[in-house]
Amino acid sequence: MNAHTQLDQALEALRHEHRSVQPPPSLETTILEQASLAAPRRAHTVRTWTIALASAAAIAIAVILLYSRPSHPAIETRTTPPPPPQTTQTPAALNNTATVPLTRHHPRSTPRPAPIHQSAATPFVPLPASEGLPAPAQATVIRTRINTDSLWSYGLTPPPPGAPSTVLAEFVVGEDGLPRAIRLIP
Amino acid sequence: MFLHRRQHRIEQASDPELLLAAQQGSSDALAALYHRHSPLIYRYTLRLSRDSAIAEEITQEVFLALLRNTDRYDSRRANLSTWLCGIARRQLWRHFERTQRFVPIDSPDSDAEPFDPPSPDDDPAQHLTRAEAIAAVRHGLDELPLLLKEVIVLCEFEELTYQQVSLILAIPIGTVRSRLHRARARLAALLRHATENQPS
Repeated sequence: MNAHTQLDQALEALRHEHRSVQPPPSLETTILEQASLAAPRRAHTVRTWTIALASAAAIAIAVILLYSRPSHPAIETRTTPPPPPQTTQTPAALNNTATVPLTRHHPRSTPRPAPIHQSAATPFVPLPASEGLPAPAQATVIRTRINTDSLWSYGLTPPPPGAPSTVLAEFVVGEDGLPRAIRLIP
Repeated sequence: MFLHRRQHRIEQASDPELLLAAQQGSSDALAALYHRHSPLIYRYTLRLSRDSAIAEEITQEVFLALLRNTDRYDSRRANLSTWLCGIARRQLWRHFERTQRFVPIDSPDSDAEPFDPPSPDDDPAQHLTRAEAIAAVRHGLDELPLLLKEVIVLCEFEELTYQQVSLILAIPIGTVRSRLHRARARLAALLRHATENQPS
């Protein structure tokens, strides 16, 4: 039997001896106690960070809402209550929308005053494509900027040469999503 | 019944799952992790330090460090026992540095490792009894430099793979192999010396 074989046998015996060693039971108790003492501190830290992050997010949202009021929105949406039967026969009757109280779909709680140029707007003109559509139970006014090249398709007279290439317009859209009438906002 | 099922679920859970639960305050999960991994940590530190108080202290510190630094553990790189053993080793080495017990292996005489070729001329009549051989190797282990001793403990006693040991010791696998070879050569030489010196 050479030294290597003896060494292997001795190491195997020592391995069994080594593996039989276990940490004392009191150590587990100590570690669990220490961990439970540290746990509230961790939970407190998590709660503190959560509150801080929530506060920061709330402040950020408030600031964004405060300063996000656009000077001239590209699209503005207003919803009118159901029009009286005698005025819903034709979309042209909607040309006095400015006098109808409007409800806006805007997250701001305080209603914004009507744009000052609204009084100078042209009357609503029924769209050719709206012929035969039922009168909407609820109409929405959408303001957007359109190309003057496309005015003819809405049944409007194209502007003279040299006029701006786009013009602000308002569409009356029914609850089915189909436009009923248009008017230009100077 | 419910407790039994819960206990079974904890025993079946993977280390990362238990770790997450322990970090969220589950003492059952921490206890399960402790039962899985504390023997290796305790035995390793006890064998190297030869002091049960130090082994207990380091084992405790390792598990508290585990809770504090859970996010540093990457299960894709190493299994948890390897990672914990690495922490234990660093703690132990700090202790040795404080107590001046650390003996570097790369001393000038490290090249003069005993050469231990196979010896076909061993006299069959001259060999130690099993008990004598075990005693000689146990004594030889205590005399080994720490860097060789820990390789014997991890590779031979704990039967970890070379890769696991290389991660724990933060050395290449080739260095693990060479250290293990040198440690075994020293122990074999010691055994041979004991055989030669035994009374006939």
